[in-house]
Order: sequence, then C-alpha cells, then structure tokens
Amino acid sequence: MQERRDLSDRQINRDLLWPVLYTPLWFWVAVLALGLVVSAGAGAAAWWMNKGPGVAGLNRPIMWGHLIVTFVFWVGISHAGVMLSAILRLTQAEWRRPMVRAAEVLTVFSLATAALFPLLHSGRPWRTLYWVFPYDFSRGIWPNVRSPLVWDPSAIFTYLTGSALFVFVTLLPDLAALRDRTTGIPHRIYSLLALGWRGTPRQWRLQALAGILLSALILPVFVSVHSIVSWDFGMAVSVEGWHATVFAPYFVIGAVHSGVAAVVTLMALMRWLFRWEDYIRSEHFDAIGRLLIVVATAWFFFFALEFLFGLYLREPQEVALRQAQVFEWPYNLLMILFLLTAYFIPVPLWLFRKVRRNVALMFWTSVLVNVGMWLERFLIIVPGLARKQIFTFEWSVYRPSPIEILMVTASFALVALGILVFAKVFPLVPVNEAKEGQVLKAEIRVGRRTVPAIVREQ
Amino acid sequence: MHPLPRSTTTTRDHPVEEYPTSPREVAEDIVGRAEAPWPRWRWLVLALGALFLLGVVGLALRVGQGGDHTRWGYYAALLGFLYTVAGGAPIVSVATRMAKAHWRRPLARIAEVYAVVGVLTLLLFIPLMGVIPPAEGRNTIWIVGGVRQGWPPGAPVAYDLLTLVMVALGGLALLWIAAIPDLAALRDRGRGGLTALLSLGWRGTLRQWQVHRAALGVAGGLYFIAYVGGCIPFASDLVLSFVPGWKDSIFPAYYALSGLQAGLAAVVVTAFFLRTVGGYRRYIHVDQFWGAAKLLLALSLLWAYFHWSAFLTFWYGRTPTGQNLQVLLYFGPYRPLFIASLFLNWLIPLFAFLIGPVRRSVLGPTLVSFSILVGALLDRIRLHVATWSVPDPRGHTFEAVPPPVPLGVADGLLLVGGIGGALLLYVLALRFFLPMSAWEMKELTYLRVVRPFLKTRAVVLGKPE
Amino acid sequence: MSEARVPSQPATPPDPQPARRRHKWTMVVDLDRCTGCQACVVACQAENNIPLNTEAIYLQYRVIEWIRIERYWEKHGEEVRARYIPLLCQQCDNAPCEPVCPVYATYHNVEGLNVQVYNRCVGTRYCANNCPYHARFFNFWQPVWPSTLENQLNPDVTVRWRGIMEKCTFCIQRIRRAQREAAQEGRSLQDGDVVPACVQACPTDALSFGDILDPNSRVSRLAKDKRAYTVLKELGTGPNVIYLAKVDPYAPAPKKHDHH
Repeated sequence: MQERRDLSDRQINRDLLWPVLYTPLWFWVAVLALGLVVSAGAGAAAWWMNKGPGVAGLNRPIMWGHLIVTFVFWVGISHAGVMLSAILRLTQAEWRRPMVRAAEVLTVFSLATAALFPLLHSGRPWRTLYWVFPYDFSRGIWPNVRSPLVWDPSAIFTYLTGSALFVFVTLLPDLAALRDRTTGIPHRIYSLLALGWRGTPRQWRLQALAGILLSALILPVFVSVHSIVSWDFGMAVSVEGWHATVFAPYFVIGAVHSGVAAVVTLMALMRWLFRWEDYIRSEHFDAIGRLLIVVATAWFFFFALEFLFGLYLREPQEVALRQAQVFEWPYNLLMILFLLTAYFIPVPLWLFRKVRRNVALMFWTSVLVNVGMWLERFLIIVPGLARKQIFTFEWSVYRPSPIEILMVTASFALVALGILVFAKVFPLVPVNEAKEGQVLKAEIRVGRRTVPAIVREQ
Repeated sequence: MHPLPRSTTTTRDHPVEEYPTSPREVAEDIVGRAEAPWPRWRWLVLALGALFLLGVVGLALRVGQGGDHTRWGYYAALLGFLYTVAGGAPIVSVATRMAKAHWRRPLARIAEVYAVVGVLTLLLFIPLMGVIPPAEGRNTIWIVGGVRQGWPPGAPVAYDLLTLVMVALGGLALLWIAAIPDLAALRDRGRGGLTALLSLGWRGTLRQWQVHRAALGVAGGLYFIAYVGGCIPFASDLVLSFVPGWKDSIFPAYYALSGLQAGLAAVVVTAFFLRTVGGYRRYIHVDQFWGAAKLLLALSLLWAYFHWSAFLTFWYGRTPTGQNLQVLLYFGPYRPLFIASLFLNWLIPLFAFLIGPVRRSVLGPTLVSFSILVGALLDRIRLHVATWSVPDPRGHTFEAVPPPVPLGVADGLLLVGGIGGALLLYVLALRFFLPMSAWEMKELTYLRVVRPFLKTRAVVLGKPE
Repeated sequence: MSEARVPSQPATPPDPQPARRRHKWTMVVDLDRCTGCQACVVACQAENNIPLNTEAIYLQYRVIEWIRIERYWEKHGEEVRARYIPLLCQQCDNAPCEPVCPVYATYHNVEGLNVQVYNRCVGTRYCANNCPYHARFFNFWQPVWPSTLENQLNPDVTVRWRGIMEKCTFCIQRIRRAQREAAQEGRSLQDGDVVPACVQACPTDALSFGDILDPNSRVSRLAKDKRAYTVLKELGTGPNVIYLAKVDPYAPAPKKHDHH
C-alpha cells in the first residue's frame, strides 16, 4: 500500500514485539481498573445467585432483558474475526494485515464472555450447565435438540473452538520469534507452544494452507452462529416482531456491522497505546471505512425489511408493538438514538475520505455504531415482550436494575481485560504479516506516474 | 492481424493464455473487430426473432383464453425470471468494480449490456396491469398504518410499473455511462448516427475521465439500490400478496439474491460463448471463470441459507397458515420443481465447486451456470404459478391449498418467446455497445505487469486509489 | 374479544394422537355465567401452594396466578362496562412452549395435558416467552409463607423453589387421586369424579371440567354449543380450554368475515 514506510525486518521485530517484552506503567493501571470492574460484575452475579432472579428488573411477560441483549451483542461482535480475518484472507485484500489477529482475539474473548450470560441469567445456573451439555443421565433424557437454546451452545462452542484454532495457527511464527527472544520460564512456555517452528519453506507452506483451510471452514460456522442465536427469537411464534423469516441474515449482517466497528475501535486503541503508527495507518482506516459503508447499508436494508414486513399483516398486536417502538416512552427515544448512532450519523460521515482517514473520528464513530447496535438488540427483544399478544391487561414495563447494569458493564471490562492480557503475552499485530506486506509491495510506472501495486499472492 | 508480442503470465502451476500487452493492441483488436461481421450473426438474430414471435402468439392465446389471474402464473414467472436475471447481471459489474478486482474487466460489458432487457421486462409487465387484483382486502406493503380505502392510489400495479421503469432507466444509464469511451472510439472510426450522439462529445481529457469515474460510481450505486430496493415491491406484489396471511420478511431479499446468482450465471454462460465461438479467447481466460466460480459458490450457499431461514421459521411455528404454505410451496403439487431447484441452484454448484480443478476451469463454471439458470427458471415458475393459483388472495389466513396449474401450450410459448426476445435484445445491444469494455482492458494493460520476483516471475497488480 | 362470535368450524381442537389417549381433559368456561368474582383464583392459590402475592410483588409485575381474571374496561358512549375472561393454561395440543425448553421440563402427556416437570426446570424462561396466553409464571423470588400459613400447604402438591417455572396443571393431583380411587373401587372414571379447585369454587358453575373423549360428559355437550370458541385460534395452538361467548345484548351482530 502506498503509504508504507520501508522497514527492515529487525525494525519490525522490535516495534511489534516490544509490548510483550517490556511492560509500560499504563498497562498495570489498566489491568487494575478493568479488574476492579470485572470483580464488581462478579459480585453482582454472586448476589444474583444468592437472592434469585428477582434482583433483576425482569417480570412477567418481560422475562428476558439486559443480560440477553448483551449476550446477543457480544455474539455479534465476535463476528468481526471471521469477517476481517477469513474473508479478507480469502479475497487477498492487502489492507487486512495489521488487524487480523486483533479481530480474531476479539472474537475469542467476546464469544467467551457472551457464553456466560445465558448461564448466569437462568433460574438455576448450577443445573443449567449440568443439563445443557449433551450428557445422558441415568434417566435417559438428553437435552431437547428441538430447542434453539440447545443449538446455541453447539454453535457458540464450535465457533469458539474454530476461532481459537485460527488464532493459534496464525500465531505459530510469532511464538517462535518470542521463544528466540526470551529466557527462563517464558522461554519454556513459548517453546512448548511454538511446536518446534523453524521457518522452513515446508512449514510456511503448511501454515499458509492451514490458514486458508480454516478460513474457508470457519465461514459456514460464522454464518450459522448468529443465525442460531437469532432463532432464539425467530422460532418464538407468540412474541410480536420475533417470528420473522428475515431474522437470521438480519442478525448476521448486524453482527458483521458491529463487529467490524469494534475492530476499528480496537485498531485505533492499538495504534495509540502501542505507538504503531507505521503499521496501522490512515489507509487501513480508509479501507475499512469503505467496507463499513457497504455493510451498514446492507444491514439497513434488512432492518427496513424487518420493520416493513412486521406491519405487513396489520395484526393489531404487531401494530401496537411498532407504535410502542416509535411513539412510546422510553422506546421512542431509544429508537431515535439507535437509528442515529447505528447508521445516520456514522455512514454519511464515512462517505468523506477525510473522515475515513482521521483515526480519532473513526474511533468515535465506531463506538457510536456499537452503542446503536446494543440499542438495536434491546429494541428487538424488550418491546416485543412488553407488548406480547392482544392481552393488554398483561402488558408491562421493564425497569432494569443496578445488578443487571453492573453485569453488562463488567462484560465490557472483561473483554477489554482479556485482549489486554493477550497483548501482553502475544503480539497483537502478526509479525510475519507485516514482513510479508513489505516484501509484496511494488510499484508500476504508468507514463509519468507511479502507481502502488502488490505482487499477487499464489 | 499482426503477430502480437508474447507475454507469458505463468504463475505457480497453471499455464495461462496470453493477455494483450498494450492499449493499441486492445484498440485494434476490440474496437477494430466491431466493424467485422460476425459469422452466423444473421442466423442468430433470425432464430431469436422467430422465438420471440412464438411468444407473441402465446400471449395472444393467453389473452384469448381469458380467465382471472390464476391462469397467468407462468407469465408472471417469465417476468420474474427476466427481471431478476437481467436485472441482477449488471450488479455483477457494479459490485466487482467496487471491490476493485481485476479479473472482472473482460466480463464488465457482458454484464452491463443485460440492462437493456429491462426494457422488455417493462413492456411485458403492461398486460399484467389488468390482471393483478387491486390491493383492497389483501395483505400488501402499500397501505401502511391504518386502513384507508384506495390509498395509495393505483396500488399495487402503478408502483410496480414505476419500479420497473426505474430499474430499466437506471440500468440503461449505467450501461451508457460505462460505454461512453468505447462509443467515442467507434465514432472516431467512422460509425455515425446513434453512436456519435451517445458518445456526448467525449474527447478523453483528464477532467472527463474524472467526471466519468465519479458518474460511474454514482450510477452503479443508484442501480444497486434500484434493483435491490425494487425487489421489495416487485416480490411482495407479484408473489407474497397473492397468498393471504403469508408474512415473509426475507422473501424480497431472497428474490434479489437468487436473481444475482442467476445473473452472474448468465454472464458466465455468455462469456463462455464469446470465448469459444465469439473469438474473444485472448481476453476471456480461466481467471474470469475462476473468480466467477468463487462468487457463485458463495451466492449458492447464501441461496440455500435464505431458503432454510424462511422454511425453518414456518416449520417451527406450526401455525395453520404456515403449514399450508409449506404444502403449497415445498411439499405439495410443486414439489418436483422445488427439489429440482434445490439441486440445480445449490447442491450441484456446491459439490462441483468444492473440487478445485472444477472451480479453476472454463467448462466447470459454465456447466454449473447452466444448471443455475435452469434452476432459477424452475424456481420462478414454482413461486409465481403456485401463488397466483390461489383463487382469492384476500383475507388473513391461508386455508386451502389449490390444485396445481399445468403448463399449457400458451404458457410454453410464452416462456420460450420471452426468453428468446430477451436474448434477441441482448444480442443486438451487445453488437452495438461492443462485447468487451475496451477502455477497461486498456487500463488492465497498464496495471498488470509480469516481473521477475525472487527466483521466479510473478504478476504485479497496480492498485490505484 | 368484544362480541359473541359464531365460529366457522367446530370448537374441538385437532388431536394429533387419537389412538393412544385414555382421556383428553378439557375445561369449558361459560363467559355468560362468569361474574369475575375471583373465587377460582383464590381456590387455585390455596390448592396449589402458590406463593403469596403481596403488594410489592404486584408492583413488580410478578404476580403468580395460575388462573387469572382479565378485566377490560370498555367505553360505549357514556357507559363504561367491564368485560372479564378467566385465563389459564390452555393445555395446548400444539403447545408453543414445549419445543423450546432445552431440558424437556415441559412435555405433552397422553391425557392431553401440558405437564411441567419442576425438578428438571433450569429457568431459561423461553417457554414463558413463547406462551401467547401469558399462562406461565416464574418464581423470581424464593417463596416464603409465614409460619401460620405453613399448615395450609397442600401435601399433594410440590412447593416450588426459586428459578422454576410453574403454571396451571388442571389440578393433576386431583386427577390422579380420582383415578386411584376409581381403580381401588374397581370401576372406571365417571364424569364429575375429577373436579379441579377452580371448578369446585366457582359459585355460578361457569367452569366445567371433564373428558372430551367421553361422549356423555358435560364438557362434550357444552363443546357443541354454538357459542363455543377458542382463544387465539389463528396461532394454531390447539387449546383444550373452550370458551362459551357471553350473550351480550349490546353487542353488534357478528360480521360475515371475522378478521381477527
């Protein structure tokens, strides 16, 4: 890409490996702060276990609230990894290089965090874990495979396994680099993990092949995970706004939207905190901003389909739901906020090249997008339950409790903490990708101008 | 023809035929060739014209037989097929241009010229305007928020017509803008009349190229929105609204997507013919088929995904309307069509394209594309004939599955004639607009060089911003 | 739900498994007789060890009433009228709550009942979301009774812990007791042997209970009444609770096409 500085291998090693080998002060402060928030969340969860689900703002009929919204939100963010890492790897997009590992790591941690929520919010979590795993008991009753809540753990754990494998396979050369630069116990651990990587041509070929195969194999998993999570709602025939055929692709494209925006947030943070201006450049934000415009518009198309066809049959309860979402407090305010933050502020801004190349603006717009996408999940889940069916006598109001809000906040801290600790132990930008990008860059002279080019892979 | 300088483009394993190496070569070959007569051209036009006339006969028979909308299902299927396939094909050019892939260049004009079929689609809709029942009492997207009789006026046919007009105009605009530099080249070679008029005084200055590029981007974006957005009223008015109680939010997206898949398949088949009998072997290589094959695989998987998403929702819900719908569309009288399109549009592309050598060949993607096109036609027949056969589309629940509507003589003639007419328009337009986008191929000669790289030779692709 | 509807087809729901059934328990609710007195609600609470619904619980929207009287105010010109309908678990043949439970805590038994297995429930609450009749109730808090009320608890019915879903069982403990007694006496079950608590308490005989497979039972006879209908028929849930529409002198004549 045209703005790449010429960097030597030694320079690249030094720049990308320094967070692993040296620890700045801000790291400890961040770990402490995040750790405190996570502990507070753990305390809230413990309080819930002790007192019962009554400590949440849930009631009848709003039996699913903030925790499930956050569950869907984190599963959505986890789609970043596959979108950027697998799809861009398969299409050989040059600008993927600095963000692949960060995206995959974000996937792993957000997925693991997401998996906690259905467990914590069930009535008897100590039994839920026991019974949702497919283990036949003496009674001979397996889990009900007809329930979307059983499809969920299958999909999520498959994706988690696949993503973890993906991270590991692409990490191997960097593990070897770290093995060669450390001593003592870290050296032993890295040696074990590096699996004897020596950098021979055969090993490189195998590693590239493994990366491509995993990319291709994880694509169907990626589509199925959020489709299955969407079917937690899509299969429910009684709740308005839930039983729609469009839910699966709608949720998947929404996940890609929020996931890619989360990666932009992460990229900006990496650039600032680790001083990687040479590796995470404005042109990367430019390219990913253009991708975001396409993804966001596709998402908006599916949102329009969902809303428009929700009203299609003009059922009184469906009309009541949409009226609640658009006109009634607090959903009306949330709806406006959601539309503005998820689409109508970021996308027009991203149409301008100057905005796309400005790291701070990309950071803030990507944060806005994720605020909007959290609100989107809330607006799908809670108003439908609050206006369930024609029995207006039963319609109620959701008042989230501090316990739920604390658990939701702590989930953000948990994901951030996970990525931060990962960055301490493994390099967050793949060293071999940075070096490969250096080797493959080229230029073409056309008349009097020089056009940046790349040597085509394969 | 002069002997052309050789340029080997061997990369890794597979040998690739030569690409042209200089813009002059491209100009001579493509633009110069436009003046040479195509062999068997006249026979092709006559044959297609005859087919079209058969279609006119079929239409006369269909009109003569009278009856309400239940007899017009096959006509609607033809319309749906033409709208989605010919409407979806230019999207191939638009989307790949946005992604800046170089392999798309030889296919660009082939895809864009399909936009002219939009005119035929628009004309074919006009007989249906008298047949489609009005919106009162039916589930449609048109009366939103409150039930007011007669609002919006002319619903639904007026707005479907508007949609088709916008898609046709948008497609033609896209084609025209993309072809201006080539039309100018033809004008400079002496072809006058319409060519000179359409080339808008193009001289090829820097400013003109910049404006051209921006206009092409805008036209592409607008066409994309027109086609995909247009599928919402088109699919819901011509399929969904005919079955009472059928709420299916993914259906317009499915309709657009299956059109994209079939449109790309049409482009691949056309490219195959241009390569083998059209004499464009130098420009259309296995790279084009390989790139298209990867896209077709992804689109076929998405096709199955959208189908499954809809089916699972109805199957799980077990509502009476949902179960009757499943009988109508999947398991009842139209089951053979459903199974056929499942194989042709999904299983065959999936299993064929999983095999690397099939993906990376010329014949493989072509045969799969034929399969997809046939499957798309059967799918449209299934959707339109089944839904149009419901006698009373008013109400809120779907209670009785009607008996199947067999393919009559008039219907067969209509299908054959409609497709023949579309191909006739396409072939005529392809001749006029040049089958290969000369200016994009000239760009490729600048941006694609072969250089020594480490111990071998590699292709270097320029990526200008 | 505001006018008497003439159903376009018989109110008997479709039966997916006719051959295996010994009985098919059905309840008929005559809305013309119902006065909204809530005696059924109190009786159910006493019989089934339902937790106490205090004012705090009510304000949290977490009331547990296996049978509830829904009351709607309707304004007709200057008059305001109250309309009631007792709603309980409809024991649907095609229950939406059954396929979604991940641990099979709710299933359909051979007698047409939708059974809730308390000790298996882990409290994911999907079944409650998927019940269109709002007939399922979750124990958000640990139920506690003051020591004075502990003697009132019914020994035939489980006391549920927090985190468990519960709902109307058609007083399955009374069904089983009647079946046991009939077996001990060496006779078959007669109509009127099984009386759930709500049916027993209703002062106007608005509620009837019995086996619809028995052609001589009261519910079989009432089900053929031309006022009979089921709630939310278009969802296809196949409820086993049949309602007899209120004869309302003020209601307009039913329309030909009932677009509900």
